[in-house]
Amino acid sequence: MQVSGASGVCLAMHEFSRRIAFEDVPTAGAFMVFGAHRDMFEVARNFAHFFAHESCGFCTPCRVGTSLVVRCMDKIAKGLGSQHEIREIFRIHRLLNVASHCGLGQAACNPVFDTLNKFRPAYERRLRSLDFEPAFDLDGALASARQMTGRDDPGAHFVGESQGFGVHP
Amino acid sequence: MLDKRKIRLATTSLAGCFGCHMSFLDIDERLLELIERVDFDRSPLTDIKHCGPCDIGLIEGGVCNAENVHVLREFRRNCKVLIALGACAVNGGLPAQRNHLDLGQCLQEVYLTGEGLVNGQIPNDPELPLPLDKVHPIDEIVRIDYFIPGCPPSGDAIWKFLTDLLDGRTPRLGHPLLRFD
Amino acid sequence: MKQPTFLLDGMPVPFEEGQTIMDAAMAADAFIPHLCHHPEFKPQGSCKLCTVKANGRHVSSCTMQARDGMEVENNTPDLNDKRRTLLQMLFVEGNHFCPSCEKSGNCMLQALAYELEMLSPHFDQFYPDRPVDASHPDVLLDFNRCILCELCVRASRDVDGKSVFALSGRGIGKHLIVNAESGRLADTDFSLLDRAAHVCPVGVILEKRKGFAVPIGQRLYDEKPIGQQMERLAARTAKVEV
Repeated sequence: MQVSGASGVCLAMHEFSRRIAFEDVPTAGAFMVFGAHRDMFEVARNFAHFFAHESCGFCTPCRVGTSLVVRCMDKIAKGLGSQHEIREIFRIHRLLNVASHCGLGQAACNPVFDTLNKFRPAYERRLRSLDFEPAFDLDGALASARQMTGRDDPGAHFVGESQGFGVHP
Repeated sequence: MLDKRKIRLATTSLAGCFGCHMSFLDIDERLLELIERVDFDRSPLTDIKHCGPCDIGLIEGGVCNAENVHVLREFRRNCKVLIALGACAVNGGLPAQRNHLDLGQCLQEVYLTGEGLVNGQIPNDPELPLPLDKVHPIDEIVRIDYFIPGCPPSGDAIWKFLTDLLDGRTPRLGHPLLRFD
Repeated sequence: MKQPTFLLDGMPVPFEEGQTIMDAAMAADAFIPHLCHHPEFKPQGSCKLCTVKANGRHVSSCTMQARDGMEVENNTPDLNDKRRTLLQMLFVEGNHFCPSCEKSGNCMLQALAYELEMLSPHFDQFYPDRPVDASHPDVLLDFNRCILCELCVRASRDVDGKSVFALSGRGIGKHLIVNAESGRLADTDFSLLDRAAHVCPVGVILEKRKGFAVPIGQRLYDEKPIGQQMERLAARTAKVEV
């Protein structure tokens, strides 16, 4: 359950006994309830896009940070994520939380931070490696050159090659 | 007691100009001190073509084509510590200045439609590595442990960094060794 | 009455009523990293490099007024780590190719990256497409290096009375624009004599035919790191910088 809009607190089932109060879970009066069938990673990714779109761009941390979070989340969604992205999100969260000019930036990472803490498997099952992967499809990055040269030989592809460090034989 | 075994070091240049390697040679007579402590694996200095298990890998240049990716991955698989050496490895550098251009249009203009060209053809020999649509710093392809910026980093900066590393200190480049140009 | 003071990393700093933490620190020769701040212009607090911890709260020292007895943390590993991350964000957001930049060695962004030992931009590059504007006879605009500090915006509006520059767009798409229907600098009344022509802390606003005038080794930040140039930073005015 997301209490009080995108920048509010995300509560998991085990927290349903908590109280709506200034001292515990503050709210502006809004609720979003997500059924157990919902993918909380996709919920958080949607919120991340929302904040990047809403950022006015005045201060550095929010302007760049919200877009960096989007890139991390999109990378994970594409199946190219690794523990590196999880660490990055925490790092960006710590910065935005204290250095942003206004509440939007300060709270922009809340939904990602909360869901990472409470629904971590929703992230982890998408990760490709424990180490690091490029954010883009390497073979796709050769498509333009393949088209221009008319080549399609094995050397013109990255096929059959596992990506990244640690997964090679 | 620290292991006194010699350290294995590999170096290579990807999308770079070999300027960082020239700067590496600028450590001059300290090279003799270095080879007391280090054995070179794959490197332009040894002409060994493939990297074996190493302690340290130094990578000059960014990643602009398929071969760069293969070489970089070979280094990452084999080197315990991988270091980005110089501006191109760190942020793409000069080769990355093409990133706002469309690769297809570039190839077309250079090989087919450019002024004075007759019967032009885009090279398509399978021996040639295909260019990527964008040039990337090496840390966008594999995990990188350390960075030595500079275009090129000075011999003194490279020496300071390597000796810190060999002596077990976290490498630091202060003023005036830390430079981006 | 005793002059009010606050503690900056344990050092007593006297201040005048109404003075900001940044201004008082500058007057006391204490360095707080900053980019969008300039003593001649109204503070704006957007780059966030000057973030300090005042009585336990993170604030922008260029906009926060000093208070008697305040305890301010400035040069701490945690704050410097955050500042380094902010610099890395600025570096990947634009196209900062120092080796070919005329401002290299005289650039505040670069000098702060040295000061805070930023060894790499860390994040994936955005590589934005930002064409340069070479239309003006005397001045080149290279938007690739813009860090959105708005110093040129403030100088042109508040000192020159011309409002040649403005920021447009929002979020990561925010960018510097020129106030002319064509968007070209040549179609404004911008002049090399404007204050705005000389306030850019990075390499966006450049005088033509004057690049690389000072040899490497003698540039502003070659000789001394920025953290040891407080006197010069505090004395920045139209007279010195033109």
